[in-house]
Order: sequence, then structure tokens, then C-alpha cells
Amino acid sequence: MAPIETPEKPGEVMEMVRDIFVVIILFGGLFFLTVGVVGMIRLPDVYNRLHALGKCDTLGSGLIIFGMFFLVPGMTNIVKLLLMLILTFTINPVITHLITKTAYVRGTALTDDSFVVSTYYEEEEGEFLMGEGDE
Amino acid sequence: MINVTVNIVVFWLFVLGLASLYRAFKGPTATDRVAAMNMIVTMVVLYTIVFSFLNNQYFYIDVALVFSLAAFISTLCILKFLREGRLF
Repeated sequence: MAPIETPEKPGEVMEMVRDIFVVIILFGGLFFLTVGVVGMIRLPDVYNRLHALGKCDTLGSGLIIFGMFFLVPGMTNIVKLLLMLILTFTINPVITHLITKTAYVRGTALTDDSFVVSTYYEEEEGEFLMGEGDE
Repeated sequence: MINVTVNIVVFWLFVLGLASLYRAFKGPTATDRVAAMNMIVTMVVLYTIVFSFLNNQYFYIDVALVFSLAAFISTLCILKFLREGRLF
């Protein structure tokens, strides 16, 4: 007599699909964070580094927190993670903008071979705020 | 599969935090160091969240929340000090 085949539970298939989804999201977040760190190490200027930091950092951390939504149990933890997601998406651009403004006000020099394109340049006297830079 | 992935994520976040420590050590201006500090704070927050899943202690999410807010306020203070030369 042939053994009775136990039908596969529908919950296991759903867990498998969820696991694959979470793995893809987590590795996507790791990819963006790696790109951001490599850009912050390799790029020549503080403005270029902030360009790499401001985008990749926000997207990578947002993806990793979104991937953790499907792993934590309970509604309370999910709400806390949602709060962290909103905080990350609001705090990171503000911090990037303030770092750039501070670097501009302090007169940090641009890197070599860079230029400023502005239509107001000929009308105003003097130069832009880009000074000698602080070492 | 999830456990292996989360372990890889924790290890790689640790490596990324160390790599951004290089910019904090070598950055020519002070704003470079602030940017590197911001990156390290992000890594530590993510590390704490993922670690809460690994350790089955979910109050670490609150720790990550408070750490993120405190790092935000401290970064604001450092930037204001760099811009104006005083805090208050």
C-alpha cells in the first residue's frame, strides 16, 4: 500500500516566498550602503562625498528597515520600525543639507579642475564664497 | 536561509562601519569627519535593529530609536559650533 502523501501546507509556501523577498530586500540595502561607503572613501571632495552619502545612505538604511518589517513579530515592533523609517527619511536629508551648508559657509575649497556655472556671476562684483579652504 | 542572510548583513555592516572610520581618520576638513560620523551612526542603528532579530530581544529597536535621535541632536550641535563658533 502506497504511503499517503501529506498535502503541503499553504503556510510553508508563503513563508518561502516571504523569505526570498526579505533576502532580496536586505541584500539590496547592503548593496546601496556599500556603494555609499565606497563613494565616501574614493571621491575627492567634501561635496562629492556628501552627494554619495545623502542618497545611498537613506535608500540603503530604508531598504534594510523595510526588510526587517517582515521578520519582527507583533504589531508594536512593526509600528516602531515604521517610526524609524520615517525618522530616517526625514533626518538624513536634513543632516546632509546642514553639512553641505556648513562646508560652504566655512569656505571649503572645491577640488581641482572643477568650475562653477552661474548666470549671476558677471553681474555681481567679487567672487563666490569658495575661498582658500580650511585644512 | 533567513539566519544566514541576517548574519551576513551584520558582518557586512560591521565591515562598512570600519571602512567609513577610515574617512573619519583621514578626512582633510572637519565636515568630512562629521559626514563619516553620520555614516557610522547609520551603521550602528542598522546593526542594532538586525541584532534585535538575531537575539530575539526586540527592545533593542527602542535603543536604536533613541540612539538615532541623540545622534541627530549631537550632529546639529557640532554643525552649529562649526558654523558660528559657539553653541548658545
